[in-house]
Formats: sequence, C-alpha cells, structure tokens
Amino acid sequence: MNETIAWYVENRHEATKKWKQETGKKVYGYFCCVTPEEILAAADILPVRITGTGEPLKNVDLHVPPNSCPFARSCLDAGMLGIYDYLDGVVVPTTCDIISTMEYFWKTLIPRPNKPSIIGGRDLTPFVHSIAYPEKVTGRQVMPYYVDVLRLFKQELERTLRRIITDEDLARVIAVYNEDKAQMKRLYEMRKSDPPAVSGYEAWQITYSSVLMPKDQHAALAKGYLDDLEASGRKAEPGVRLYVSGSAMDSVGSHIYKVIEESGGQVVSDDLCMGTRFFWNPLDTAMPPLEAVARRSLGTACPRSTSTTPIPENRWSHVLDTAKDYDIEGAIFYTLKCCDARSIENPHLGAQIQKEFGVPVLFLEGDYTTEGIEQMRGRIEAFIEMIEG
Amino acid sequence: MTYAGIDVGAQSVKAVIFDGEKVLGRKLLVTEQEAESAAQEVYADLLEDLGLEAKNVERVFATGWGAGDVSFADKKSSEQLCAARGARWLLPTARTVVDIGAEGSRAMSLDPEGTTTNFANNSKCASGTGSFIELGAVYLKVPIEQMGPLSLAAAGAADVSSTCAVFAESVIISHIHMGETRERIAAGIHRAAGTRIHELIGRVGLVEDLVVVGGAARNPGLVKALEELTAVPVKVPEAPEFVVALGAAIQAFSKRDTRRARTRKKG
Repeated sequence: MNETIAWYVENRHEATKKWKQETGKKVYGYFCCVTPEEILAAADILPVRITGTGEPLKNVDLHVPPNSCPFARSCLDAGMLGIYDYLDGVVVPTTCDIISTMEYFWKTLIPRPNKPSIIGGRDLTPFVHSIAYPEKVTGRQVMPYYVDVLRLFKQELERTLRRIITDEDLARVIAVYNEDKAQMKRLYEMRKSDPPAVSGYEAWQITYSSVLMPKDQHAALAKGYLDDLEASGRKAEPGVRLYVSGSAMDSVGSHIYKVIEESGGQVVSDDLCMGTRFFWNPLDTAMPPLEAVARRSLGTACPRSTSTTPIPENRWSHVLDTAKDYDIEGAIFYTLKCCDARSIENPHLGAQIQKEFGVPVLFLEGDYTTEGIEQMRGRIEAFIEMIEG
Repeated sequence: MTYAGIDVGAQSVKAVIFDGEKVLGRKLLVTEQEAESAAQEVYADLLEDLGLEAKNVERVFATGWGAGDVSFADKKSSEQLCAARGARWLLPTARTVVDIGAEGSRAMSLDPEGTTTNFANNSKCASGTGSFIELGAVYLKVPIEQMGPLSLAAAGAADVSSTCAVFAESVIISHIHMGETRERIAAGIHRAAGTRIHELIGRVGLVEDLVVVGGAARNPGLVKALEELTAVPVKVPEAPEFVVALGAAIQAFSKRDTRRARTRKKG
C-alpha cells in the first residue's frame, strides 16, 4: 500500500494535524457521508469524517444510554476526550436518530474554541452546523427543499469564514471530487477479476483514506497506486468472493477484513458508507453546482432514508449495482448493535440477496470493538468453509 | 487408514477415531486444564485404548472453540460443519441439525444431498445452551442428569424467561420461594432453553428430519420441550456429545484437497 495512504489510515489524527500545521488551513469534522462536504472543500476547508476509537468508553455513559449506537457513542467519547480538538467546526446532518442528536451533544459537551455570535437568539457563526436532511429522499418537493437547506448551510459557512463561496469554487471542487470517485470506481472494476487485483483490506484502505485526506491528494495517490498495480499485473490472494454490507467501516470495523482473509475469504465489493455508498455516484457537472451537490447527497443509499416509490428501492438498487458483476459467493451483513435502520431492513435485504444471487448470507452483530469481531471469527470461518463445500 | 477428529468444547474435549466406514473409538475428557494439553491427553488415551500410534492416523482435524490451540491437528474445521457432517453420517435423513453445547448452540440446514446451506448461532448469551440448564439444576439442587427426568414428571411448566440467563435465574429463585414444584420449574427451564433453540431453528428454516446433537441432547426434558415447540419429532443419534468430533474425523477423511486448490462454482 502507498505509504501516505497507510499512514492516514493508521494515524488519522496525527496526519490531519500535520496537514493543518503545514497548510494553515481549516479542518471540519462531519458525520455521515450524506454531508455536502463539497461545500466545505469549496471554502478551502478539509472535511474529515468523524470516527470513534473502539476503546472502552470513558465519558459518554452519563449522557448517551448504553443501548444506543456504539459507533456514535464512541465518536462522542472521542470528542469529549479532546481527540478532535483540532477541528474548526463540525457538521451533523439529520440522518439517523442518534447521529441527529450529535449536534446537541457536541454543542453541550464539547467546548468550542471561539465565542458564538448570537443575534436575535440565533448563532450566526455556529461551530456545530446541522443539515436538515429530508426523511424521504425522492419526490417532487425534495430537491427544491434540500437545495435551500444547502444554501443556508453555505451562508452559515460564508459568515463564519468571512468569504464568499462562488459557483466557480464549487465547480472546481466537483471536478476534483469526480476525479477521486472515478479512481475508486476503477479500483472496484479491478476487483471484478478472480482473484481480484487488490485484497478487501487494501481496497478498504484506499476508500477509507478518501474520507480523511484532501481529495486532490487522495485522487493522485490512488491513481499512482492503481497505475502501478495495473502495470505489475499483481493479484490478491484468491479466496471465497464475499460482499460486505454494513455501515461505518472505519479502522475498528476493518478488522473484519483481516479475519475474513485469514479464514480464506476475499471481500470483492461492499455496501458501506465508507465504501461504495459515498463514492459510487459522481456529481452531475451539467447542473448548477449546488444542485449537483444536493443530488449527490440525496442519492446516497443510506439505510436510514426511504424513497417515495411504493416499494422503497433506493437501497436495493444500490446493492444490485455494487454486487451484480462481482461474481459473489456469499454476503456478510456486519451491523452494529442497536442500529435500527439496518436491523429493520436486514431480513428483507438479506432474503433479496439470497434470491437474486443464490448465495448464503451471514448476519453478524458488532459492538464496535476489535474483540467483538474476534468473537465472530468462528462464525466467519464456518461461513466460508460452508461455501467452499 | 484411520482419521481422527478432536472437538475442543467449552466444557469437555472429545476425540473420535474413524476409519472411513466405522467409528473405531471415542473418548471424552472434562476440561480442567488448558485446551492444548487436554486435547493431547484425550487423544493419547484414545490411541492407547485402541492400540494405535499417532503415525497410524492419516489426518487429524480439530474443531470447537479451542480448535486453534490443538497444535497437532492438520487442519481445523468449523463446529457448524462438523456437527452437520457427523449428524448426517449417523442419520442420513437429517435436514436440520441442532448442536447444543455447554456455552453455545447452533442450527444448520442441509440440502437433500447433505451439504450445509445455512447456519445460525446463538448470540453472546448462555440462554439456550447446556450451561443454562446446569444453572437451573444448581438452584433446584438436582444433579444435572436428573433434570430431564424430573421435568418429564411435571404437569405443565412454570414460566421461566428465555431472554437472558441472568433474568431466568432470578425468576427461578422467586418460583422456589413461591412454592412452585421442582418438576414444573425444571420443565419451565427446559421450555425456556428450547424456545431459544427453536428461534435458531426458525432462522435457518425447519425441514424434517430434525436431529439434535451435543451433550444436551441426552436430556429427555430438553428433547421433549423441542418436540413440543417445533411440533416435529426430534431424532437423537447415539452418543450425541461425540457427533461434532465424529464430523471432524469425517472431514479429515473426506477433505484431501487444500483450500487453495478448490474449484469455483460457476453460474
């Protein structure tokens, strides 16, 4: 793996702090891949995704009950421990219930470095921004509404930063983002062969580092890595071809790739918000830039959103897109406990995968620790052994 | 040629020697030491009983939660597949196999050819496992072997929570204080364990014949509870606690090729 990418994956906080020191630019943290991070990037801000630590939680139990999302709890705990003190702002879209509350918790529990400028009861330059992401992501009224939400968000940023974000800024960023997405699409194309060109873990390193790094730098590094890979004709270890469906697959969750590979499996595609979900759909350059950003954000196949069609099909069409050409032999659903959005759709989605691809599905429930994944090793081994026959 | 299967369970280590057609011998050792030495001890004892030496054994497969610790095994195989293999070999009509161990239970579904197509494990909880019934036996002051017969003598069953072994414990204690009969409490404990196992079976889909293996399959109270819940007859093979180890020995016998040499199923 490319050294810089590996360094970002393993030491994300050090890497970002160093970048901040060298460039003197601002860094914003965000929850969820639906965040219109293009607007942040257009204001010359580095958007980085907020993740937890996977360590035992120290502060959060007093505020967020234990029977809620372990990922969100860990993120907040990291914030309270000061791990994210280098951030200049935080963006929270109202996606699932627990992530939506992060706005309140981050505001109340984590001291902001600068003073709020409150006029008429409203914070004109908020440190924690909330994005009112709609419940249903398709339908006639959604686009105008959401473009308006993004316009307000852009204005908040402009006031805070005392600069204007122009359509040209956005268009420039959109081009960079599309280039990065194209590289990752290329990476996924290279996983269609048997054996795939890269292991599941290596592919994850590339996609995960994209949510931590400046996108132009990431696109260039990913391109270099893939060019080398293509030239060398190197292939990953062969193994049972698996599809992974889950949510926030950060460095804690990624331990599952190692367990899968050690058990004789190879992840070839996924349905993860730090995987295909955030980069699969490019931004439309023919649209006004803000609308393109809104469309990309609404098009993210998050299990928390539904569409207005009689049978919500946004999730299934994404799974179909990301699984159909990969010759998968099995699917692993890695869901964090207390994730309502996933638990509700899992039986239905699993059955549909079983029916469409004729492959078995393994349901696992994680607790956002690597030990928790170790406890699943036996089941993963049995699943792979079962497929091998 | 002979083949060996070692099943390192949470409570005991089982070894089976198989020659491709019949079981030559089997031995069980309740684990009081770490897995590696227990496995070595039971394997050496079994070889000695049969008048064999380690070099007479072509391949050794290990299974169970401690399989990774068995350094003399050639390969390890998952307990789900071993249980299915062993049960199918003993009862060729098996389509759903349930393995109830001391600390974990699992259900496997098999296609008509005997290939495992799906499985489900109990979650991180002792409810629906052998130790859950043992816990009940402690509170009822009954030796574990008598739990089953005791429950069979009951008229109906006391209500015992199946959600959590710790909740069940307090329910059992309050039943005792309320003067509920031991028979009815024992029947309730089996019903609670059976409910959890019935859930597992539901997750893979019940197809007859239903075969139950593992040490807890020796418990007639649990078998009766499962028959009532699933409304189908439950088949229990001879020596059910050795079925997983037998499955490992069968795997050792039939798996000649290695993992990397496998051929892809296309289409």
